[in-house]
Amino acid sequence: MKFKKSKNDIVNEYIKALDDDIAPLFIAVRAAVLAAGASFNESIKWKNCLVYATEKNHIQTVVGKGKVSLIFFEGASLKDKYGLLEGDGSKARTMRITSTGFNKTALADYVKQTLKNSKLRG
Amino acid sequence: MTLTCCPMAIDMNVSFQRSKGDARLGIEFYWKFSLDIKAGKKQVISDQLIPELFYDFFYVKKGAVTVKARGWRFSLPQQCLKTIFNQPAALEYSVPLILYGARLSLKFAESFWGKMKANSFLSQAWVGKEPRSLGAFAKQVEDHIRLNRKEKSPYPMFSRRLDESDWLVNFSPRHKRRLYAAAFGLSRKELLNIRNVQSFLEQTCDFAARNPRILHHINPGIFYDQPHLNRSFKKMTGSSPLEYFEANSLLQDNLMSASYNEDSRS
Repeated sequence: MKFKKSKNDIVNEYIKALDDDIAPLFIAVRAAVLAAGASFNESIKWKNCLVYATEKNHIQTVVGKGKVSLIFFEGASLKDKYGLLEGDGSKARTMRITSTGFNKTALADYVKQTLKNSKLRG
Repeated sequence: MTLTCCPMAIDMNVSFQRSKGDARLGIEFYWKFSLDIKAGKKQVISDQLIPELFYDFFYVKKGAVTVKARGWRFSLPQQCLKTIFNQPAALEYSVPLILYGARLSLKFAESFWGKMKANSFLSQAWVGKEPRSLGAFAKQVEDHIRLNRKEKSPYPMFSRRLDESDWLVNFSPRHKRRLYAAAFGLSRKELLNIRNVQSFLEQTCDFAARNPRILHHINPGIFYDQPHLNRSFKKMTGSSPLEYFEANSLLQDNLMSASYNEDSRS
């Protein structure tokens, strides 16, 4: 599978080791996140979650059976005009993605809002 | 002038490279960690270290690292060995920073030629010529360890799961405590406490799934209940599990995931 190499070796190893059935979806989601949030640093945390962070963790990727879930740690503060965020907790929200035809505009919007909010809080 | 920047507004460039070590010498892997601020101004970035069952050799090639632990604040020597900590330590990086390192296992401690002391950064001189690449750094560290290593005991004291080796069975508990303290700087009980917290962190913790409860990630064989985990976790890391998962630890997280994934491959 072809993908944009990360500056973090562990992330590259992680992507290479993904199962063939989930790798295309994972790579598509990662590309969409990085396109909208170029300032994100990637790392693998807690054994096998890809996390996008600036100085704080913002989005965590969890790979499930046939799906990739994006957990926005400050998701409750995002304006969800696409209605794709799940969860009713006080902070986090999850976006579940099951096919490569996912709503990239919505994802880009959530990512940009996340970065904007983090800068405002800073 | 060194500036401390506001935490959320930093645009950082972080890279982490890794190459395989020699398990026979107790070297898990070598790493190179680079950190820079995209804006180009010199600033200070805060980071944290939590206890792990590994020793780390640090070589500061560029920039500076300041350590804050146990009320002390000091600048890291250019070459030093971080021994096992049983409490958190805060780091401050002056960027641009380039750090080389070697992650060392308990096996290394059993053949370390100097005096081992817990919660310390021991000044060392393992690297003679400034390394230009991770490979060159690895070669110098490996040669130095190979040349100086001195076995403290005839056989390993622990298995990978920290079970005591059979050859220690006839020693008195007091003598064993002396042996462990001489080799690792800590008692077996303290090493087990670190392993317990790490065994919780090793899991894939999806706290924002349908039922986000830390309780579901607690191994009842290790922690009696969630308050037990919280107490141990806070004592060791300085923060609660949820606070820890939300914080971004630049170097520590990379070292941890590299170590865990190294374990699962072996």
